Amino acid sequence: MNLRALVVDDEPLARQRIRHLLRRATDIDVAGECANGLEAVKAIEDQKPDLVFLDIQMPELDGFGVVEAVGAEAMPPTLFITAYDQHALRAFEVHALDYLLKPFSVERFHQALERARRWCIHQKDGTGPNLEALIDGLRQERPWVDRLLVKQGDRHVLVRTAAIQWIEAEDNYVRLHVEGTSHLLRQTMTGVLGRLNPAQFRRIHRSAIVNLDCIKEFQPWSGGDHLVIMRDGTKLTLSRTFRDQFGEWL
Amino acid sequence: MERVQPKWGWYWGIWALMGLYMASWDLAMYPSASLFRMLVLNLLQNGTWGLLGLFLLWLANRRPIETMAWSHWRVWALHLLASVAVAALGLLIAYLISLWVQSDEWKKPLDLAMVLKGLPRFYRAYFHTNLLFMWAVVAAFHGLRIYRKYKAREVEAARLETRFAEAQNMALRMQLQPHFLFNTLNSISALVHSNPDGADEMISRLGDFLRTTLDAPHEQLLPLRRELAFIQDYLAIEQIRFQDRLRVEVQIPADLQEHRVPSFILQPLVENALKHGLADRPQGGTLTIRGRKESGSLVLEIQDDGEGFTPGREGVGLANVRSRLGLLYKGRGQLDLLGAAGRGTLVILRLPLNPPEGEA
Repeated sequence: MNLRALVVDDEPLARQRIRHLLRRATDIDVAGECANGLEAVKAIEDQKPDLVFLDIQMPELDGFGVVEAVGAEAMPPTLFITAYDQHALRAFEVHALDYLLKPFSVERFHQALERARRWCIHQKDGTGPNLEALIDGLRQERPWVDRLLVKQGDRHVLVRTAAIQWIEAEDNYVRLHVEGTSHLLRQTMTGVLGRLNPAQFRRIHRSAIVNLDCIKEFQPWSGGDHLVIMRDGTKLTLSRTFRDQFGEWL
Repeated sequence: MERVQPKWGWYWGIWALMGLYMASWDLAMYPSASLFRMLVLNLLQNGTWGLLGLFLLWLANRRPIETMAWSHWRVWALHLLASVAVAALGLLIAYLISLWVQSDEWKKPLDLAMVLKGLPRFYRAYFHTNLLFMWAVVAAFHGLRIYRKYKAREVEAARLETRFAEAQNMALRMQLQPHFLFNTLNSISALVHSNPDGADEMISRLGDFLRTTLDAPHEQLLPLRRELAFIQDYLAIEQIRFQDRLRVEVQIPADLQEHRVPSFILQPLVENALKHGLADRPQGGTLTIRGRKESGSLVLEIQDDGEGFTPGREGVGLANVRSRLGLLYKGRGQLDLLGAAGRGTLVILRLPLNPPEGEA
């Protein structure tokens, strides 16, 4: 049975080029094309392709964002494609992952394809390249994200981190309060805090993280706590434990 | 031009030296005079002239002589009259000082008749020299002023040169942006098979575009037509790359094409519109470049319907544009950014229609 491939790139001509090159590979069928990361996440989850050609630079959700959203363990064998990305290339080298640099020759493409085919076979016995390690490595280099992907029913929604007003702990989830609505994200407080830029987000309580841009004022409260009043009127508590981070203001 | 701040140490130092010099002159003429008296007399007199000279400096600062032209005769006349008045007043005080210092009984009131008798002779002897002193004050002031102006201009020219070099540099970086270049090459390799004519077109566009910086304009200003050609090559390539995602509209009336604009001034604005406005939107958008004349200004607008500009997040490119406008047009050029989240960004560039000084 033929392998089903998904082609993900925001440039139509780049997708066309891969489709064209795949014509020679009779064992591979193009199952679909996606023009951005969000579409890709949905297509990977719905269609479960055997192989993904994934461009790294894409609007909103980039290639690595797609891998994170789908989950490294659930990601099919992936051939990363990039025009230029020094960080990514270093990570690929470290984790012995093959990648394609645009523009690539026919020969180079088929060579990479051959490795990807082997990966597809090895995937079944679990000896393929380790995407999880790759993503972890990249996370250390680029710890903060501009957008978080949240699932709403069967839909994926991208939330710009700058638009998050505050974050509330809720059992095994965190609730992102964003301009009048809120989204649940399966993540711990420490986990989500690690993805956010510390210059913008600070923890003020065991169960609350705030966006500093959305704070209107601080008011002294009992027992060394402070009341944090947000621009939209929400009142939160800054507990004594976390007050030190605001030393410069309080 | 800001006020000229004189170097006060020099000012008073020169008056003091004049005092010493004149004291030695008096001693040479009247060897029997007391050294002490001559020093007191001349230092007091020169101190008085120094104080009165302050008035001339103040006046010169308020109404400096800007040009030799006849049309400026009022300012010349003003300074002439002021220096004559100051010299006359200074001489009167100097005369009283000399009578007082030279009289044997310092506390005895002066005899008015005697004072008036000696005055004309004193004026005849010293007025012209004194007037010359006052002119020296005014002349020194203007000398310093011209020197400062010249220095400031030199610094400004150097600064302008730097900003221009930065803009050139940024334009070059845009062309050599690895993403842009490699993605364009990748698109060409797709077109080669599917649309050879398209590939052809793209290669020649890329060639034109790369050539622009190789024969990069070395002038600070160049016709809008050339600036637009450069931007349009870039946009044409981006349009082929992104196909239906990027729409471009350029609306520049023909009569504006030859107006001179700072070279590479549009580049950072267009690049921002694409990068922050449109590239991050999967559905793409429209970039519009408009030009019009408005009350003595050439107004260029760059509009995108992308994400919307977040105030306070201006990068190097915009800072460079602002600083070049300031240096080239001295406050007559203007850059405004309007935007709202989700509703796109409008950049308005206003340039005076008549070319700036010294760049015609």
